Amino acid sequence: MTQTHRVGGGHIDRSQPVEFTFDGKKYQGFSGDTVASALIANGVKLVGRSFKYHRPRGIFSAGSDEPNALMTIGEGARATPNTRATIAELYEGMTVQSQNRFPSLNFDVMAVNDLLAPFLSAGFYYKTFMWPASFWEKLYEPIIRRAAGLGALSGEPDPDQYDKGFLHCDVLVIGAGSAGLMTALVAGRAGLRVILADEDFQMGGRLLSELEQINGDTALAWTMQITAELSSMPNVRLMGRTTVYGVFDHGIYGAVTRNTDHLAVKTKKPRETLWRIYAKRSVLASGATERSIALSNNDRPGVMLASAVRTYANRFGALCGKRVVVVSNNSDGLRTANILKASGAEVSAVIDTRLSENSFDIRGRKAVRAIRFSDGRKVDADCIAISGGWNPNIQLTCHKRGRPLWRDDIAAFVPSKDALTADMDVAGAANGSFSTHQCLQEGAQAGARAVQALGKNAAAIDLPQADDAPFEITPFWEMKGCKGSAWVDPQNDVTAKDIKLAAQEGFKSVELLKRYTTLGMATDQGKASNVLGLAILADHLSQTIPETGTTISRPPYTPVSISAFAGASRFEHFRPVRKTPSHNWAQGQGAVFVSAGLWQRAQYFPRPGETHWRQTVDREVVATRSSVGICDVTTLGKIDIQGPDAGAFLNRIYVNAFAKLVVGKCRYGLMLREDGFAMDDGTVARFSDTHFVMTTTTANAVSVYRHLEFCRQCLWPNMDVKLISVTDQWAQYAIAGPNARKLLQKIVDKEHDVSNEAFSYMACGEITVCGGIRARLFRLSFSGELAYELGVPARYGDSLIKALMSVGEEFNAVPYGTEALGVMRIEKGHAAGNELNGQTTAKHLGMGRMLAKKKDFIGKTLSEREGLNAEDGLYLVGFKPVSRADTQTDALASGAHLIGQGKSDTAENSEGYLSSVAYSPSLKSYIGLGFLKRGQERIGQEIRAVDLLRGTDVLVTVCSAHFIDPKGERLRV
Amino acid sequence: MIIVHPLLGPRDAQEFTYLGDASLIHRPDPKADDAAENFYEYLYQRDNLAGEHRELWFHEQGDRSWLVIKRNTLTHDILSVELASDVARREGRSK
Amino acid sequence: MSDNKTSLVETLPLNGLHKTWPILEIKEMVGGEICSLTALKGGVPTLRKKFQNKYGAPLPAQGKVVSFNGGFLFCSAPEQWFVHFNTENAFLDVELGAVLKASAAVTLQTDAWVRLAIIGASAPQVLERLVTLDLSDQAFPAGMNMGSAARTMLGHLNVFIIRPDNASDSASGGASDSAPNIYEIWCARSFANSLAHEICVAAENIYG
Repeated sequence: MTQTHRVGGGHIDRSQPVEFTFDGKKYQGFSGDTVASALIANGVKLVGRSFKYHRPRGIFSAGSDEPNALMTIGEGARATPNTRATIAELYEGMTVQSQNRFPSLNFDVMAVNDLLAPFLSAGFYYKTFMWPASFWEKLYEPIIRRAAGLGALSGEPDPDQYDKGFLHCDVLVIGAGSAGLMTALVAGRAGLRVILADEDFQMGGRLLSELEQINGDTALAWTMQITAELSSMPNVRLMGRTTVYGVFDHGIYGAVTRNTDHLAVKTKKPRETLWRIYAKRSVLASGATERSIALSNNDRPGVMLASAVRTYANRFGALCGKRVVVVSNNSDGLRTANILKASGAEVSAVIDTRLSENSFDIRGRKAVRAIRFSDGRKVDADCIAISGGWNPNIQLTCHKRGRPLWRDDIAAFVPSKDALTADMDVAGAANGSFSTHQCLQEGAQAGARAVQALGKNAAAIDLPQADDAPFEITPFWEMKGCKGSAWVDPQNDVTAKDIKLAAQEGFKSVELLKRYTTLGMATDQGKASNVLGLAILADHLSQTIPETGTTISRPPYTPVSISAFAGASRFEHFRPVRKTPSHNWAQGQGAVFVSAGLWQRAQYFPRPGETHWRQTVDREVVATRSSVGICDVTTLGKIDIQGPDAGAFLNRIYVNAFAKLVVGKCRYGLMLREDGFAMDDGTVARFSDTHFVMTTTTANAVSVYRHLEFCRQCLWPNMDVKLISVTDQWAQYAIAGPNARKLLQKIVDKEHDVSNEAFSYMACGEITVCGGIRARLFRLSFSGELAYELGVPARYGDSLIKALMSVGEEFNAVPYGTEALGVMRIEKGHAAGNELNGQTTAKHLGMGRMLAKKKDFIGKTLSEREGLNAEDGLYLVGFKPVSRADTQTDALASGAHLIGQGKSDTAENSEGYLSSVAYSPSLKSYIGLGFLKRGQERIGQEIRAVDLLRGTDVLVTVCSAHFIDPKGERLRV
Repeated sequence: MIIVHPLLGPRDAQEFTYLGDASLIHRPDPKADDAAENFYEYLYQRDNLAGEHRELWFHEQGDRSWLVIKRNTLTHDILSVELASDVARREGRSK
Repeated sequence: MSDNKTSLVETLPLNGLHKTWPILEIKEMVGGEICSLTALKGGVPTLRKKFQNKYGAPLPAQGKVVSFNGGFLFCSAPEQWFVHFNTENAFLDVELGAVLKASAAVTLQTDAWVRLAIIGASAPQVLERLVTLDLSDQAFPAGMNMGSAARTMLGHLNVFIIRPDNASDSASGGASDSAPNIYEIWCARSFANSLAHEICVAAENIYG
């Protein structure tokens, strides 16, 4: 239980010890530790197995760039794979598991892959697993699937909440290190709305990990002072544990805050919040990430970035090794030696590649044991701290396809002028300026620029005193003359040899290199590997780095969970739900509901004893046709159209005429798309010379409204007509059946005459019901029976359905749902969505005669195209099985193809299809509507309805689509 | 993206639906002799521009106005936003 | 004919929902009557004059809400206003139509909307979880004689957001000296449950 590698110093809280388990074994750390720092303090070297070769791996870095220490943290449904141990904050009782090993981390059978390495080099899957072809599905793919990936998901539903938010600011400061803190200070003091975001749980950036002095005090003290001032400003929002993961258009940024991952007890607080930030300007102060050097077996546990070794010592009081070799090609890496000595470690060698070309191999497999030079000399070591230079974190400047600029003086990429958008600025290490003094200065300057750009004045600021040592580097990418493999991308197991192999095979461009070797394609998006790999390629091709180029970095900067993108839109709340005024009543009646777009509609109303929906639906149809039924039709779009040109407007929208529709009457209308295909149908009621109300189908309400506004605003902007939706204003019920009028008369107020003479078929009007309640009545029929639609303001909708059912008792009135509605309209041969499927024209629908000859309308010209008027086109007709028994053998299926007898079931022989099918209780038979070649000429013929998907083949007779009351006599009684 | 509505100021593009090229405003004259050809061109033939594009957007979740937007399809920079009805009238559409 | 025995009762979209948290209150708004007024061609000057004469209120520009003795109105679209009157009137559209005549198209809208007030110091904090608009005091001010209104999205829902000016008939009644922070949210009535759910979840995520 003792922390063998714990030393003094650091910002951890030693008064709060924390117990956790790693692969089932108990360890202790302190509050303020990350999982990585706690493991290091406990002397744990081996933390994982690499992706392809299952090589033993240790902690490599101390930040979100970590490629090796990917753990599964948490238990049960909360077990989260691929979590970086370097950013996971330790809490009491945390369970941490290593990944990608079987049966254990120490003994992993898949390490055999390492022996097969020569056969598994870059691009091996393009050359193998190809023969025999049949082995792919049964053998190769399952094996590859199981071997792929690192961690595994729990497989259980995510138990946490997630949230979203939208923030507005003047300046978004990305990164709260020395540069970012100064920017936020300057902008905040000038009164700008500032958001300061940092992915870490503490503000300060690199200041937390070095022993810098600012203004003569510790950098930590300075950081806390600035942070306190920023916290006190109401115009500044500090967002820790927040990664700005993407840059989008027009100053929109994506960010995610981790709210609860550091808490032992998970509350109902959202685990993560996904933010969309609208910023007028941004300052990228994201610092820089150190890179390593490619040398033999540089992936062994204990080989780490020099800056990480310093972070563990200075920030967490944990020693990465007790005998450390320091390797560096620059001035910064060398300070690691002094830090280590001060912490009580032995520095067994310091190798400055600028001074001499020493090559050595790393000895040790599950942990570094020693290094051996090419001349045979051996030096004991349990940790190798390597610094190959620093890469400014410029990724966000490339999200909008900006290309960075190479600087030879720091051997690194910085943002180029055109990589920075008009509103994005950069400061500090992200800009290639590495001294603390430079960071502070650039941060303040960036803040001042932002303030000025937004038209305000920045008060002069006293620049704190800080170190300004120059950064000196001589590029050194790869140690030559080594025996073992030199790792470039540890996470995807890509070596220097793979890079050269790719170039050899012709994949010389950096984009192809990436995709062929998968270099930079792991969850760190190449933070450890991109620049190093690029440099090795450039070297190999004898090119400069600018000549070789770079790949584009894309959002997200670090992985973002899919749960965060989903937010609260899960399960039944995935989409909003629209309920009709009768919804609660229908629910109380035991109705079964169906989704119609966002609406919930009652599908059928089962009665006790009914065990199959057919029983219910058949009953509803029979009851309606023999007496009276009531159906909620509120969901159909209702569009109010007013103005002197309203009639003329409707004339241009519909194929048939509306301008001369009589006041107090309705008319059925069909509208086309401009290409001549049927788009939607509905009825229009005329309430006055200048006032119409149009209905649309439920499904097309939104798109028809959009279309009408397009015509009104863009095509005919001087027409005097205005539109507005009134769909939700009126609860509307269809009352259908021979007793419909009698029922209606029970609630319509005496002064309104709804007799057949006074209110004939297709009449409409404003009336009152139930003692003065405002209502609209339409004599319309979708069912083919005597029918009305009654609308009342939606507040009365619930009460009205109850009233209708109550007064309807004497007529045995039934509620009916969308199924019975559908059966009845099919019996009548009314086209609906299945027929208006985007492939049919008015003529195909049998509505050719509706097309007005004299007036223009949307779709007219192209509806006259030859191809749409061919005699052998598909025309709407009805179908009935020849054998009329209600057995499964003659059940028709919509979608079935119509194929002649004796013909084989091929696409060439298909002469059409069934579009709508129902069992008709009125005819005691299945019936169908469909489109048949020359359909109208073939009434009486027999043909087969073939459904290859469901395996049915039914002989049917072609008949009129109007199965019931073809003359429409019932409508007019 | 952010669309700066001429009357409402900046709004997130998710409030809008996109239709297509602003040339859709110029519905051909159905009475012309070559009407069918013209409608065919109007509906099906389109220049696919890499660069400045004039296009129609509908502020469906806002004020329900149609807008003509000039946008660079490569950079997404929005150069101008106007009420489509103003543009339509200016370009000769009437009743 | 009608038996005159059947009468109809009203149902509220959210049954008078009222929820409170430490510094936040959500309350269904009830009562009054709402109409849409859409100016017909060339009708804006006449509409403006008639409305001013009858109700003593100007027609606000887009993004603005104005109150008058008896209600308030806001501009919802080019040449379109929504007017809320404090008293109930099932035939309001007919009456308004008679006043405004050919200058405007009028429709009754009261029952088309569910209305929720979000009240309290942390109203903006809840709304920033749901609404992409900048609802800060700078961008969306409440104010004497001229508040703010916008039609936009709240989560997946299309809504009006109305920040009444101090002179309006506020929902909370017992206001302190400083005007309470009130945002009224209007959404199509059929979405009522979804609207309440979205807002309550956002509030719970902050307080719960």
